[in-house]
Amino acid sequence: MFDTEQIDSATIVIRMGRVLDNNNAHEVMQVVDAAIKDGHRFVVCDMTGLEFLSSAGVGSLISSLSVLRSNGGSLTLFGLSEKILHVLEVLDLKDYIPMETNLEAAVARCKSQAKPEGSTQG
Amino acid sequence: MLTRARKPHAVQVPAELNPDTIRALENSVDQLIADGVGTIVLDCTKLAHISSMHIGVIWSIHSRCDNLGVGVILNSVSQTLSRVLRILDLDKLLEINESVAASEKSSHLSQAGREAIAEFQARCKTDEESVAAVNDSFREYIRSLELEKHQAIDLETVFYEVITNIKNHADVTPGEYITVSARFNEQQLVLNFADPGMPFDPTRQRGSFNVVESLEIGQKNGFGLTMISRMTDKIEYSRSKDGVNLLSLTKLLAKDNNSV
Repeated sequence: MFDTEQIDSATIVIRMGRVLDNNNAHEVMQVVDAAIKDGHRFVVCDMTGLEFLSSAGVGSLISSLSVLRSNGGSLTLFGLSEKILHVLEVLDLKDYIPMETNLEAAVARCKSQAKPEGSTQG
Repeated sequence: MLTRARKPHAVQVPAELNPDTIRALENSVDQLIADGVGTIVLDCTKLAHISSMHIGVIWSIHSRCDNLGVGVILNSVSQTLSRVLRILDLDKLLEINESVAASEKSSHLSQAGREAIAEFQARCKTDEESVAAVNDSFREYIRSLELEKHQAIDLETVFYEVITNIKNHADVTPGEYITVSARFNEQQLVLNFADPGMPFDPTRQRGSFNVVESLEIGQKNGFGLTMISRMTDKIEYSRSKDGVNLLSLTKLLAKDNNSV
C-alpha cells in the first residue's frame, strides 16, 4: 500500500512509488475511499518518484479526482517528471488535473479550495 | 492487499574472468542476498565471448541462489550464449531473457546512403521480475538511440503499456514467452510484440476519448488504446495460425513525418 501522511483534518498526501499500473492502481482508489471515510476531502499525490504510468494508473487518478470532487474536494498532483507530464498531456489531462511543483504549493491550493465549515458543498 | 513490487537487482557479468573479477562478482551477489533481494538479474551484455569459466560462474551463482530461495534471471543474453546454454540443456534450468545487444547504433551514413539500423530483441515470461527486466532493457535501448525527448517518452510508455497489458490480460500460460523486437532507422522505429495469449485486436476497439466526459463519470479504464494511438503513427495486428497475437506499432521519427 502507498505511504500516506495527514497534512491537516481535510488533506492527506499519498506518496507514489516508481510505478503506477495495473498492479497497484486500485490501491490509489482504496486510499482515496478511506480518506473520504475519515473526513478528508483533499488528496495530494506525491509523484516525484514515479517513473512508469500506465493507462490503469491514469484511470485511478481520474476516478479518484471524480470521487473527491463529488465530495466537495479535489486531487492535486505534484513533483511530476517531464515523462509523466507528457503522458498526461497526450491524454489532454494536463489542463484538467490540478498540478503543482511541490508539496507546499499543492497544500496551499487545497486550502484555497476548502470551503468554510457549514457551507453548501458541491 | 498486494505486496510491494520489488525491482530486480542487476549485477553485470564481466567480459573477462579472473580471480579478481570473479571475486568481485560473487561479492556483489552475496551483498544482494544479504540485503534480502528476491531476484538477481545477471546482466550478460558484455559477454561477447563465452568460455566454460563463464558458464561455470553463472551456474555456481544460480545454484547458490536457488538453495537460498533467491531467483536468478539472465538478461541481455546474446544468441551465442543462448546457443551454448541450449547445447548444455541449461536453458531448461535457467531463467533467460534473450536480447540482441541494444547499443549497436551507429549514427553515420555510408556513401551509398544506407541508413543505420539498430535492433532490439528480447523475450520474457510473464512473471513480474522478467517483465520488469525486459522493460528496463528496452528503456536502455531507447536511451542508446538518443531520440528526441518526447519520442523516447512515447516509445518507453507504449512499450510499458503493451507489455503490462499482455502480462495482466492476455492470460498467457506460465512458462510461455512474450517476444518483443524493435527495428530503428532514422525515419521510424517499429515495435513488434508476439504473445501466445488470448486474441485481442486493438484495431477493432473503439478509441474515442473525451477527457471532459471521462472526468465527469470517473472513467477508470479504456485509456490504453488512446495512449498508444496518440503516441504512435500506425498500429497493425494479426493473429497467426498457431494462435500467436502479433502487434506492430510504428512511430515516425523524422520531423516532417510526425503526424500524431
